[in-house]
Amino acid sequence: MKNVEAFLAMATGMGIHYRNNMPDITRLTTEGVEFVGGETLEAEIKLILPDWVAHECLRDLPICDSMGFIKTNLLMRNKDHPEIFALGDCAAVTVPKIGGIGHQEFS
Amino acid sequence: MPNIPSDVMENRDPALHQRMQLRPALAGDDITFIQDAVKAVDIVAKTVAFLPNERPGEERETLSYDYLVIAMSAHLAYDRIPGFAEYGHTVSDLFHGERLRQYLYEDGYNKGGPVVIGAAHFHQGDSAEGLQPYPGGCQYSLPEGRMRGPHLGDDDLDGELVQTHRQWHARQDHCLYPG
Repeated sequence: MKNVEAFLAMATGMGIHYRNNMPDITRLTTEGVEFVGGETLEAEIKLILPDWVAHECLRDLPICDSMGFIKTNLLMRNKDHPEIFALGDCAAVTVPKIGGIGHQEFS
Repeated sequence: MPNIPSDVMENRDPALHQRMQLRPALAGDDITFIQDAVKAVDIVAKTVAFLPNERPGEERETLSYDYLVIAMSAHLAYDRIPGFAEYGHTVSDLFHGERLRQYLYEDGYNKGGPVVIGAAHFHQGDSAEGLQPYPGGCQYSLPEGRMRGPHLGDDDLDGELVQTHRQWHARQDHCLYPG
């Protein structure tokens, strides 16, 4: 976590505000970002990442969890169907959904 | 992984640089690439049904497998954020990256923020209970599991915006982490 702390200190020194434990986004408007609970943040540019949702063709498979992500062990193999592997964002164990973890899983 | 933000912030259309020729690369390992849309996976019959999608109107095809590796990523649900199409930006793909580049570098942009960089909540499923997080991932517990975002790459974006556009005032900018 030292690199994260160092980066936060550097960015804070540039005047960038960090807001942790934010509620979910409800909508974007021309004025900014609105959150669950009514809070708003003024923003001219809204750079946003959305929720990750499982693909429809996978969502209801018995190898998937309650949100449609494929259940695997840490070797990316499904326990009930060992002929099936999943890696990257579609795998349940991939949290957060970032490419670096997907690369590790592939390796 | 494509570095779309760097191209965008340096005023380059990412679609002109962030591309890899998959077919010849895979053919070198005797792997056939099919561009298609997967429609169904039958894990009992061990088949995958798909629509080749080079052009509309293709017929449904089926392939059988001995082993199946599913690496389809996930659906990024921008369509579930009201107002995103009209007012939002992102750098997760070439189209949106180029849209942001045009916004920043063409038509005499001179607004200067403020900027908010953030993420909607990720709704995690229930199958990770009892598992250790993947090495490099984060600790999570159910049902409080949340995507830890935006990650540092997105925080870099705000720094690049400040460096590149001298009219930006970072003190008005926010980076958000979901609770």
